[in-house]
Amino acid sequence: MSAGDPSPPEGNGFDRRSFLRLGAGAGAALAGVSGLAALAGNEPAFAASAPKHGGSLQVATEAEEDGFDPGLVTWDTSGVIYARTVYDSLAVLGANGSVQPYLAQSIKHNADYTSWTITVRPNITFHNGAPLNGAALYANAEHLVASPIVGPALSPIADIAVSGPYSITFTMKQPWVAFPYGLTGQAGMVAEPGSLKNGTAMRNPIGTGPFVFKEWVPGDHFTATRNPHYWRPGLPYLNSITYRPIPDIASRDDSLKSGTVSLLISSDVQSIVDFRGNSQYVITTDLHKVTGETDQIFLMLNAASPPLDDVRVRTALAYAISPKVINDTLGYGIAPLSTGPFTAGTPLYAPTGYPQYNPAKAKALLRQVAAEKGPISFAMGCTNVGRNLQTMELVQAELQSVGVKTTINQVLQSSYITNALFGKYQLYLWRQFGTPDPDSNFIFWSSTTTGAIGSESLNFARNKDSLIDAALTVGRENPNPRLRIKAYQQVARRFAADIPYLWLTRAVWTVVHAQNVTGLLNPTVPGGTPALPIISGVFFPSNLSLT
Amino acid sequence: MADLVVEPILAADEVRAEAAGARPRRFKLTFWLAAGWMAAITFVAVFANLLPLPPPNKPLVGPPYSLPSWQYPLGTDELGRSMLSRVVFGARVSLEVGVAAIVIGLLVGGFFGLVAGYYRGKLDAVISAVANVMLAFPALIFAAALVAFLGPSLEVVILVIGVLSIAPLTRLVRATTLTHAGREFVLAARMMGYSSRRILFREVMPNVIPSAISFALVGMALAIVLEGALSFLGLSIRPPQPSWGNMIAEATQYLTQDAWLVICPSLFLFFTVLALNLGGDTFRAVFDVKESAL
Amino acid sequence: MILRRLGQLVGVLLVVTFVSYLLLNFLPGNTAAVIAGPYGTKASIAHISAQLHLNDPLPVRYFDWLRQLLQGNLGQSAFTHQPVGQALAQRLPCTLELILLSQLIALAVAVPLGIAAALRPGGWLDNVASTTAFGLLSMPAYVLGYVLVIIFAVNLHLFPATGYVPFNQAPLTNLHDMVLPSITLAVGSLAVYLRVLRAEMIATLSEDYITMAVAKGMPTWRILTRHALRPSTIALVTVAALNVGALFVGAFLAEYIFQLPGVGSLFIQSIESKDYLVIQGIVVVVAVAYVVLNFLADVAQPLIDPRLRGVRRLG
Repeated sequence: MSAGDPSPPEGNGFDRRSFLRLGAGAGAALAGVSGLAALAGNEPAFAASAPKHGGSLQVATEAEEDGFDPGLVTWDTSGVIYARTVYDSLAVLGANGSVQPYLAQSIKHNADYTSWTITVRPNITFHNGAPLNGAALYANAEHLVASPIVGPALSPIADIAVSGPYSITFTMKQPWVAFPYGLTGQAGMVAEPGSLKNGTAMRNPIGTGPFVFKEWVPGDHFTATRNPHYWRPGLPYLNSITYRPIPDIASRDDSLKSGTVSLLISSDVQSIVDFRGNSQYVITTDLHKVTGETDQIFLMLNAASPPLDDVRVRTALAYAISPKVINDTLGYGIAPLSTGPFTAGTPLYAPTGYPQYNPAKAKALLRQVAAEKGPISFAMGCTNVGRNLQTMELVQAELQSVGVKTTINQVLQSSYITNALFGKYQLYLWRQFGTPDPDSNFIFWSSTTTGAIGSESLNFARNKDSLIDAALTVGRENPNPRLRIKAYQQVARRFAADIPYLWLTRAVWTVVHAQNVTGLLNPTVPGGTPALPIISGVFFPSNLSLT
Repeated sequence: MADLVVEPILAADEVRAEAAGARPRRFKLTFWLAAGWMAAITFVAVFANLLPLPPPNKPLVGPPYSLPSWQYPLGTDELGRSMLSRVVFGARVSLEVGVAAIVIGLLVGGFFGLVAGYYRGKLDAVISAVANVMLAFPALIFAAALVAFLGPSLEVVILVIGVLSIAPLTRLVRATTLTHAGREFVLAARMMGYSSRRILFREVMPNVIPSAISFALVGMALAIVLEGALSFLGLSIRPPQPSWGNMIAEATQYLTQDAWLVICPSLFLFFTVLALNLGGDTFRAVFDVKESAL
Repeated sequence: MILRRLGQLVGVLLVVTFVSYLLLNFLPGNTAAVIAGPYGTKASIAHISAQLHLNDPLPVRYFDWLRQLLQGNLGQSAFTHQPVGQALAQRLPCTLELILLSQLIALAVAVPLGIAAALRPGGWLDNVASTTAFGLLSMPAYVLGYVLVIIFAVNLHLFPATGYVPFNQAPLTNLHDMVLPSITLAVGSLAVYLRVLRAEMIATLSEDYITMAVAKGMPTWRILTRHALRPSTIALVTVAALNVGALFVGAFLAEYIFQLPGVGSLFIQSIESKDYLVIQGIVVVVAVAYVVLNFLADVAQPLIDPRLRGVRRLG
């Protein structure tokens, strides 16, 4: 198990295992990225002719995973990249953010979205020769629904049935409009049924993917070699690909500079700073344009734990903290500040009325509360990764200046999400909510998934708001895009009133690579439609090549 | 603690070396510089709270990454905290650990070493066996494992390092005691009818003390390095409270931005350890030479 | 005599393994639950409890654990479920290579320097070498490593800060990657070897039989290699054995700093992730290796130096 994740300057709480990846059964956080290298001086060299076959690519990722069974672990960006290497997902996002069938041939729904049928392409085999068919799909779906980790996100599923030699049909308990978005990530990865059954998928993944798993030394490297029978003609280009998880951002950037790797992914703006203006490398980042929604970085409050159960206290905290100071001090002021779950520039964004930095108002509110309940103090937590600790230290100082005493606990990555799940925290630095479709966040925002402290609650903040519930239901069941947008904007406004989250900035994903790596920005789905090249740092390994 | 156990070999060799005409060492200038450094560090550590320094954990005292200047003598770190304050409070942690560990080691280990070296026989066999077993674990590995299992905190670290210092000091004091217990003045005292206990504490111990001090100084240096390593691994005092080790660990992320953040606590650590090593070495050289001349 | 030594060895090993085993008991709370970690289900906790016989009395538990240990079963990681033994086997070559290379470097520098310094005690070379050695001893690995990285990787771009390919895949790249970590590790040993060798050589060179050889007209280099070096080697071997502990520690830190896939980085990762069985497994393996190596050094001493045969070693 690796040392944990580095983070954008404000830090991420739990990145590696972010449940956001699971929303609507989705795997990876799916936010988009601008298609082009965004920074002057880092334009890619003109890609001349057809990509060359061959070569071995070394990639630096952010963190190690615990295994490769889609139902037994939660995958963050690094995990989904592994998955895309040896597995295929049933669908991917197109360049315009819509769902495109990938391993699936078609994804159809009935009139009221209560039934979805997935038909997979014929004549595809897994790496061990087993056939990809309806039964294989069924085995995967069953495995996920039964999984304690992925299952809750699939709760609207009432029944699964094999409906043809290459098809399965899901019957839903309620209309589920955004269901296929989940098939573009972790929940859409199709593993060989035998490997799921006998448990070997965790350490020895077998899929239909462009590369065949070769070896894995946890914490050191993961290597896969070209699949000569890959169902997409001409792909992949590389002979082999090796991933090295390097959590420390300085080491990761350095590994690219020294040539140990040729490509790295990073959620830390440090990578932008380290490589901008350096013409030997190409930077691709979603700093300027996002497709879908990207992760937000925020302080998550446990609204069931005193003194944070008082909305006046939570509001006071929002007034007391200046995201700008934190972002300027620790993040070079690069990442855009956040005031809600949706990113400025995306269709879902609208002003929310979230409290702006105002220490005087904070003190006034706190005085009120202190008069009734005594002085306010609580515990804060973060993971031992990147600049998380420094972020918390700044927060601690800002809170101290309005009279709130706090302690900082550094919590192990492995316990972090579990603590949040069971409510064993008061304030945690967190990163979440990136997704191509906001319905994925249903389980995190609904009061139906809320439990008391000590029992499981996917709504980690334990914020119950019937207005939010109503809006979420509209988002899940109503196919009208305008109504959905309005519903989610209502959710964002309610967050600004309930304040379960103290927003800081949004996450910025960056991919940096050497000039001789091509194919990052022009992947296609079968049929030629352009696919969305990079999603929260997740790219298409099948399309990469070396010149 | 390998270095501590290597000392007797070095001691014996150096005596022979000196006898062969290698340049002898006395209280040289370097010793006084080292002593001065330790005195200064001890002073600021003890009086840290009274010194006119900004609070060590207060961010944005000045612009982040400021280089040393008149206003910020050691510059500021990534959060704009005063490096001088942090280094001073970090000194406190290092010295607390170093002194406490060595006191435990000397008191317990020294006692057992004296007893084992003087009384010999079964007592010696038992004590030596236990010491050997304790020495069988490489220090950091066992310390890190123990702290991980017990739960990291400064108190645990002091306890663990203290306990780990006992065995090497037992062995060293025992070796020195053995040397002295065979001397004529001890035989004389025995013939005069003095009790073993009196001889041990009034005749042998005073002669062992100089060597013990030299081991103690070197041991303190090792304890400080060990605490630094544990801090570096996140097993000691928790940030934002500064210790030299955790300052280095945090600063390695900013290596390319501002290497001074790594270099500053490293220098303090280095010079303190160097000063203690010099002190111990000089003590040994001076007192051993004197002894062999008797 | 050798039987008695072996008996002592076994005794020490038993105690050492017992103490390593005791580590588990320091865990606060329900041991099985803590080991199972945050992904633990009731089933896995019960499984661990049964596997480790946590409900049995201590001696029974210990002997069962010992028995499994001898069969090579050290438990498994709570997270990846990889058997600890397998993880160690995967990572051992890297650590061994690091230690080997560092000792080669240390000796390659310490031996000539030590001899040169000993030939002219008090001369400028001696002073420079001794002072440098002293200084190097005061420099912890976690400081030196980063200094080397700053100078050679970040600024000069001569060597990589991280990265590792196995030797059998790409020998040259492997050695290139290992330069900085090996130097970091070599420095501590180098300083100790230098001091010991210098002192030993000075002392040996003053012995009568050396004076005799000089008087007989033997060339200097021959005196050095045939007569002076051999007794000095004894002290070196003793110190090397005693230094093994510091070597492990240094290797672990160097692996962490340079991100080499060795046992040390696994150890540190396991400490950070509280993967207790892995921690314990590594402690046991390292402790046993240390004891055995010390024992071998002890036994080897009389073999190298005939003067010591039949004489009890002091201390």
